[in-house]
Amino acid sequence: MNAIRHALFLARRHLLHHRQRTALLVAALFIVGFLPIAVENLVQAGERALRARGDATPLVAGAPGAPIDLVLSALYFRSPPDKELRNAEIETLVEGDLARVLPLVLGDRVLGGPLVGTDPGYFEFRGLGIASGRAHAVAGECVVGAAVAAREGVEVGDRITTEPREFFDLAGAYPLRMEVVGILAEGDGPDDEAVFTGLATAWIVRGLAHGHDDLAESDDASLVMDDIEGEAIIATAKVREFVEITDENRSSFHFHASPGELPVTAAIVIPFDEKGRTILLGRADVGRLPLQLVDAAEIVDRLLVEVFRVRRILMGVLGVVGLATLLLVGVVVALSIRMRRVEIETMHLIGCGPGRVPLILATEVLLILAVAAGLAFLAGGLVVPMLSGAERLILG
Amino acid sequence: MISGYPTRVLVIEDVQFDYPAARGEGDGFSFGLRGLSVDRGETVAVIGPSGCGKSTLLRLAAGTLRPRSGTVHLDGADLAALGETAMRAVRLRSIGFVFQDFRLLDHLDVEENAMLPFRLGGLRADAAARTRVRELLDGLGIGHLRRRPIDRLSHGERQRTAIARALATDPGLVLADEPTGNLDPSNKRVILEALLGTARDRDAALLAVTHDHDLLDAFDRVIDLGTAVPA
Repeated sequence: MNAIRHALFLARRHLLHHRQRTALLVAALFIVGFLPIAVENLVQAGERALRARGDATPLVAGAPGAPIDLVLSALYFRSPPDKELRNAEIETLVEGDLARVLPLVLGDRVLGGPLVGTDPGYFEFRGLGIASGRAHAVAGECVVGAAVAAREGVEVGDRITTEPREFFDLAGAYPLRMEVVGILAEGDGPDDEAVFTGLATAWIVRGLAHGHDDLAESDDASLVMDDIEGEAIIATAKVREFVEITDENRSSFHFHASPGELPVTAAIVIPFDEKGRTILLGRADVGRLPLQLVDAAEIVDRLLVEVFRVRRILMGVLGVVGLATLLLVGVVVALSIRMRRVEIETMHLIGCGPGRVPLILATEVLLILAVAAGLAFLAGGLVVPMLSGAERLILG
Repeated sequence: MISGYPTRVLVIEDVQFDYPAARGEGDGFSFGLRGLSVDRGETVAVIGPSGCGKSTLLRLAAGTLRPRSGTVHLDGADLAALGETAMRAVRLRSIGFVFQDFRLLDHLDVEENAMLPFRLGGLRADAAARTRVRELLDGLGIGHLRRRPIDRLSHGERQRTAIARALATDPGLVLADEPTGNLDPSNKRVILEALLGTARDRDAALLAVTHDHDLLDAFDRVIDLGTAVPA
């Protein structure tokens, strides 16, 4: 016991005296330990979050294509798939009151996050509370996710403007100013990073509906290029297009397509019962409808298989890098012992016991390993809480 | 204690030691000495030309070399009869070492360097040991430096620290290999007198190899291995 106490004292003093070398060795071993722990913790946290969101989402409908892209769009509001559904196709799918549908219109952005056009029922479905204000009710209103609100300092009553899709597309849709009517309570998920609005507003942002001066009522002749009696009035470029929906101009907003033709990126389909679910899957499977209906949890499982495969490869690479680092650390320790030959010889001459010098050297190595391992576990454990949204990190 | 010689610490009789020849060279080196004894409190200087075996004599006295023939007695114990473990114990308790290049541990301060034999040898590094070490440091004039790191000491202070380490366990014999070899001329006599005085105060015998012939007058006895009678 005495020997270990003295060895600890001498080892500690030696390591503290050679601070830079000790710090370098600790840092090298810390990285070797930290990376696998961090990757493992991130993957586990990501897996839990992905599964939880997948399990909470019964079925997802969308246009034919890669099901993973569809599910990630519906669950995480990631870039929408190239193809979209028509509103009418979803109505046909759930015909007969088999399920509740929450359509999602994605693709536009606001305050650096996704703008999600959906039914206010989405909040109830995801169990999201409203921290202040209320849910969106009419066109032009929006509800901001907790993280966006905190980051951008947004409050109820503020106006926020959508980001234009193409800066130089003169014929494109104008950005729309929306009124913030609610801030979501923190939900620890992708909803915190999004801004929610109604389907109509999302379509307006896309340019599928708009509002402008009423040419029929206007006395300004310079607004009218041509008036085809009883058919249409062709406006000049002077006509004023509204970039904000107000009580005064709301009635001027109109669609240039029938409601059934309007696009929907994806739809969360919640069957009322198992029978309904079976019928819905059958309908989609028959192929009469140009859509796919997938089980979100099943697709998440398929995605996780890929994630685990990548993790295995990454762990293999980290293992090789770790081994190389350990060998290098071994070389540094061996060289250090060589450089301490006179010191060791003196210790023996003074009367040091046969196992005492190896005990001191081993204690030094163990102290370095212990500090590096401790730091690695500590930092590895802090990675997930510090990097919120582990699943989003995994998804890139 | 040597039987019949109550104050004798080290007795070397008819020792012969052979260094094997280096590869590709001629005959090896052979060292022989008919007899040498050193009493408690006695200070002996060993001089002689390079290669005459001064360091070999110290190593034989320390038991790190075993003679081909002859005997080395330390405090009455025949070193040839001791196993490795017993030999280490003898070195730890009965022999102190002072080196030309000090051989102090840079990562320890003055006091901890002087305490090193206790930590390395498994002796009790208790309050009594620490008090003894502090007395030694005070006696050597470096008591006020006891918490100072080695790399912030002058050469003279380092050698005083090495002397304190050598005498920390109250050994009967101090072996010094060129103890003033690394010191500037003005410091040599001061440090040597500190070494000799401390050894005498502690009733320890001192066997010191030196090339500083102008310091020989400080020793009780001088052995010139260049003229000593070989075994």
